[in-house]
Formats: sequence, C-alpha cells, structure tokens
Amino acid sequence: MAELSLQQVERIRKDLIRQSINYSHLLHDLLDHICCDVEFEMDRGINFEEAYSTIRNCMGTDRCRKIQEETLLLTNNTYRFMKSIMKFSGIISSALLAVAALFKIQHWAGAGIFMSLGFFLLSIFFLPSAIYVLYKENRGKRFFLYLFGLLSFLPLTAGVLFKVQHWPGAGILITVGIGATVVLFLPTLLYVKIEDSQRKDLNPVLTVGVLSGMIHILGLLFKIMHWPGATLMIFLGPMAFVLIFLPWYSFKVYKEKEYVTFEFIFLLVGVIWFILTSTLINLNIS
Amino acid sequence: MKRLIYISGLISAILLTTGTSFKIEHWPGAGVLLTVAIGFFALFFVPAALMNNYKQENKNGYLYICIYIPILLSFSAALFKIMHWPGAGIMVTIALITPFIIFLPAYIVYFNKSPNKDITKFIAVMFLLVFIGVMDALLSVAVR
Amino acid sequence: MISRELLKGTLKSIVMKLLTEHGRMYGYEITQKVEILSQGKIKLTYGALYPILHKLENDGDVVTDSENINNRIRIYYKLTKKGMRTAEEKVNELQTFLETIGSIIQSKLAFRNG
Repeated sequence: MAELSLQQVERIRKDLIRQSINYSHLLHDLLDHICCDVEFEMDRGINFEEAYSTIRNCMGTDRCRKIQEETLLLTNNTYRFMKSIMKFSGIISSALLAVAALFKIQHWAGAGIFMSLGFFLLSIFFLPSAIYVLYKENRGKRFFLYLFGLLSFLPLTAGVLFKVQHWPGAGILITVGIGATVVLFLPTLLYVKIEDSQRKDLNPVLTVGVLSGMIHILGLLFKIMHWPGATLMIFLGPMAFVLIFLPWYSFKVYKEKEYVTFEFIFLLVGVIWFILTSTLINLNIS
Repeated sequence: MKRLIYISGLISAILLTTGTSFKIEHWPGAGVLLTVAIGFFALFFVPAALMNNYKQENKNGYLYICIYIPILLSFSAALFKIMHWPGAGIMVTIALITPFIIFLPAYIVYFNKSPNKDITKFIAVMFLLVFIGVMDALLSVAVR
Repeated sequence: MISRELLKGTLKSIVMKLLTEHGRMYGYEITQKVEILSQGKIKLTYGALYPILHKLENDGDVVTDSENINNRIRIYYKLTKKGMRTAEEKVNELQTFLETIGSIIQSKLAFRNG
C-alpha cells in the first residue's frame, strides 16, 4: 500500500487551498480522497507526479470551487470573511487588553481607553465571528461548549471593564459572568469530556475536578462581592482540585503515552497560573 | 523520567496551593512554601516536561522555547509580587507583555506551517490569550 | 458507464444504504464500495458525493468523527438514529420507484414485441 510523504500531502493541500477551498471540513474530505486516489495509482507502479497529474486531469480545474459552492451554498464568502475577522479581532483585542493592564499597573494615563477599545473589539467583532466560525466547523455538543464559554466570558469581561472604569453595575456583570461560567460552561465542559472520553472510569475523577473548579471560582466571586463564606470556598476549591483531582487523574492517565503529554503540561500550568492569579486578587481585595 | 516529571508537577502544585492558603491566612512559612513551589515548578517541572514532550513529538523547538519564556517570566513575576520583593513592578510589566510579543508570533508561524491547521485549536489559543488579557486587567484593578 | 442524469436522484439513497450496512465509512471508501458493487459501472465523483454527505450532516442524519491518518485528517461518516430511519424510508422509496419504472418499461416492451 503506497503511502504519501508529508511533502506530497502538503503539496496537494496547497493546491486545494489555492483553489479557494477554505471550509476546512470539505478540505479534509477532499484532501483525503485525492490522496487515496493518488496512492491507488501509485500502487499500480506509477510515480507520484504522474499519478497526481492523472487525478488532477480527471478533476478539472474549476471543479473544487464549484464543489465548495455547492456544499456551502451562499455561506462561502461569509465564512471566509468571518474567519479573518475572528483571527484579527482576537489578536488585536487581547493585545489591547494586555496593554491596558500594563498601563493600569504602572499608573500611566490612558489605560481606560485601551481597555474600552479592547473590550469593544472583543464583543462586537471577535465574539460573533468566533461563534459563527465555530458553529460552521462543529456540530452538536462542542458548539454549545464554545457558545457557553463565550457567553459567560462576555459579561465577565464587561464587568472587569466597568470595575476598572469605576462605572456602576460592575458587580452585577461580574456576578452574571461567573454565574454563567459555573452554571452553563463548566457542566457542559464536564458533559463533553465524559462523552469524548474512551474510558468510563474517568467520569468520577472528571466530575470531582469540575466541582472543585466550580467551588474555587464561586469563592472568587464571593470574595470580589464581599459576600460571606468566600474564604472557606477559596480554601476548599484549590485544595480539593490539587489534592484529590490532580493525583487521581494523573494516576489514571499517565500510562496512556510513553512521554509527558501536552495536555498534562497545559493542565498543570493552567491550574498553577489560575491559583496564583486568584491569590493575587485575593490578597489585595480584603 | 516521565514518572518523575509527573510526580514533580503534582508535588509543586500541592506545595503551591498550601503556600497560597497559608499566605491568605497569614500563617508563617507561606513564603518558603511559595518560593520552593514556584521555583521547583518553573525551573524543573516545566522545562523537563516540555523537553520530554519535544523529544517525542518532534515539532519545532523554538515554539517550545517561546512557550517556556512567558511562563517562566509570569510565574516569577507573580512570586515577586506576592512576596513583595523589590523589582516586582518591572517583572510584572515584562511578564504581561511576553505572551503577546514572544509566544503569539511564534504560534502564528507554527500554525501557518503546520499540516493540519485545526482552526478550532487556533481559536482556543486566541481565546486563551484574550482570557489572560482580561485576567491581567482584573489584576490591575485589584493589585496596587 | 451509467449517465449522471439517471444517477442524480438516487445517489442519496445509495449512500445511505451503504452507511446502514457498514457502520462508519469515509468518503473514498464509499466511492470504492459503489464502484465494486456496481461492477465498475458507477464511478462516484467527489463533486457528487461530498455535497450529499454534508447535506446529510446538516440535516442531522449522519455524524462525523475524524482521525489522523497518513499525514492528513480523515473524516468518518456514521448514521444517527434519525439517519437510520430516513435511510429505511429512502431505500423503500427507491425500491418502489424501481419496481414502478421496471413495470412500465416491461409493459412497453411487451407491447412492442406483442
């Protein structure tokens, strides 16, 4: 069975992209199909170049774009447009927010402008385009995960903006944002992880993890809003996460690959970062 | 080696959480715990884990370096800030910028070169950066 | 080679029938099976196949999942419960259609010869 090399697959992929196939689902389908066709020809003893040009001649030049159009109907141009908007606005708004934070910490003037601008870009451009792109790319439960994530994130960011600018209503927004995270986003995350996972025995572990995360985040909310009970939650959440979930999860998972997976690194770095950040917030609010 | 790395990661996480809880409650020993935890994490676990992963997955080395530097700087800055050590201000300034100046360009280059171009992952990374930006802003309000 | 015109209406039913029998399949696999089962008379092109598969996905009749194979991503299609029901309907519809057309053709021929 002939197998195409990475360069050969890349070459075919670039040709497809040059024909304006930007809907990645279709791109994957076509690429795999053409590669299989070429591999089939190569099995008959023909070399890659000849096999590929034979297949291409059967295809015709404009075919791919027509296929995409047929597949996506009117949404082709909209999709490409939305994708670019999402990329640009994502990069620019996150950079603006970081600059704003920098200015604020250094007590330089103008932090507010950067932040408002960043947030504006985020909610008007990044959010809708990201939802559109994700909807087109994913079906089913994944979409809800991203949707809820983005929806909880928006009020949270707005709340932070309002707080920085000392505008009224910050508390409500932050409460709504964190509430949405705990009630909508985290359960959906758990649901998706459980559905995706091949191993049923991970389910209780994951549930514990998500629950302790919820407690921690709620604790932060309570602290910011000066409600009682915060300290207990902030103590309990990370402790449960780090003492129960992490060891349990790592023990179950570490045998799966021979090397340290990126997922694990990401998980640990994320957890430590979140705990450090919340500690900093904690120390300075009381 | 893999097992060692996993365990060291877990231990630093436990030490860190204990340290931060101590700090919040103003119990003694917090400083030591935190310094050891963060030091161990940033100077041993992260580089060892990244190296281990790099050897297996064999992607571009410079991406890994560009991931490590912001992490190292951010965590050190957080430590300095929590412990009220001198130089915290500068460190925080640098740490805030590095994800965007060092990691982001490296990631964009990596994404353009990579074969599978999973747009969902790209969105996730973008979103992560936005999230970091927002959290930084929140910090800026909370932290004097 | 059977003409595109004749095939157009029936392709969806053919694809769905294959999916009921084979669990999960990827695009190339489907075209191969069709070619084998039709003894080379029907060659399904990507232009015909993928719009159908994507429409099925949009309507909720199939779900996809992907795997990394040989330096590229391969997308597998699988019928949902709803898809199974639709498949049964469509195949029965096709069956009835074929019988109807069959009887019309037969009767005409008989008329010609008789």
